[in-house]
Amino acid sequence: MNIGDKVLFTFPDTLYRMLKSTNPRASRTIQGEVIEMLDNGLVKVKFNGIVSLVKQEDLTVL
Amino acid sequence: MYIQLAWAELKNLVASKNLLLQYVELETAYNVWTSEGNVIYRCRIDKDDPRNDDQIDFEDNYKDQCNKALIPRDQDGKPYARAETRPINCTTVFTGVGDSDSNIGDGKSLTWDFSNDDDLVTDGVPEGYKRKRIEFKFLDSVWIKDGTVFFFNAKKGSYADIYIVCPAGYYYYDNNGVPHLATEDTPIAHYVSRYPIQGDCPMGDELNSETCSSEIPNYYKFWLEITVPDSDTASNGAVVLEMYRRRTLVL
Repeated sequence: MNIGDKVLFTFPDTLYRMLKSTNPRASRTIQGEVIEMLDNGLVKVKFNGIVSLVKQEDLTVL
Repeated sequence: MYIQLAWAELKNLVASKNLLLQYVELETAYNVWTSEGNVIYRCRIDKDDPRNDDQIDFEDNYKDQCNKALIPRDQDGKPYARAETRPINCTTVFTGVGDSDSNIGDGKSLTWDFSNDDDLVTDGVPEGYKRKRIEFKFLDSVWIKDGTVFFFNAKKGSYADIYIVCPAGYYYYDNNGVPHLATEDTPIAHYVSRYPIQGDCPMGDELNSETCSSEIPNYYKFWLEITVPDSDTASNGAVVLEMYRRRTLVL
């Protein structure tokens, strides 16, 4: 995984089912672009123009 | 729409969806079915002599529980309707205490007392005020319904807030549906906002709703914050939450 990669974030399954009920706009998967990779295994990804911090293990490079 | 099933499939479907089984007895077989909306699941159980396995199972374990009204009706034909906010398979709970890591009802007490320094925080406290934050959580997902606030000796200007908080290391969705990993404890809902308390309220002030919250994941936690004037050294109180949850004891 590198900066600029297009990635697919997948929400951990058991968490998604519960959080979906609190935010109807949420979807289990969302595409984004890698902005920065941190040393602690976390990745900054831009989703829909919003920079977010997620775990690398929850991303798939497209 | 009709869907033909084997008896084993039909009875498992009935059990998993809490459906009502119906049957008609013919000379050589039972026609057995259940419906879910406009879908009818059905099967045929042959009658043999000696009895076959499906026939034995149906006649001995299911037959006398069948043919209950799918929609209960009054004598004048009007259907019974039932409206409630309680989610399926949940029960109503009134609690003045959170859960511990392993047990229900022995966690943080939802009380405060400004005659001591317990639970005091300084983040974001307005000038001339002080604040206690009571942090609590539940072992299982919960649905918050109502609540009652009891307070004593509360000075003018005192107020209460309750937040739902995503702990550091867990995900939450922002208002745009974008997921975020919380790097610190992050309030994601502020459902009691600057609720005023003053004087004595021994009978409790009820915060009522006609509905209940969405399911709140069990790894989320709650902050009950009580903010009072700096000069307060005597007020105290408690909160009781009315909520729904799947279990009330760890058995």
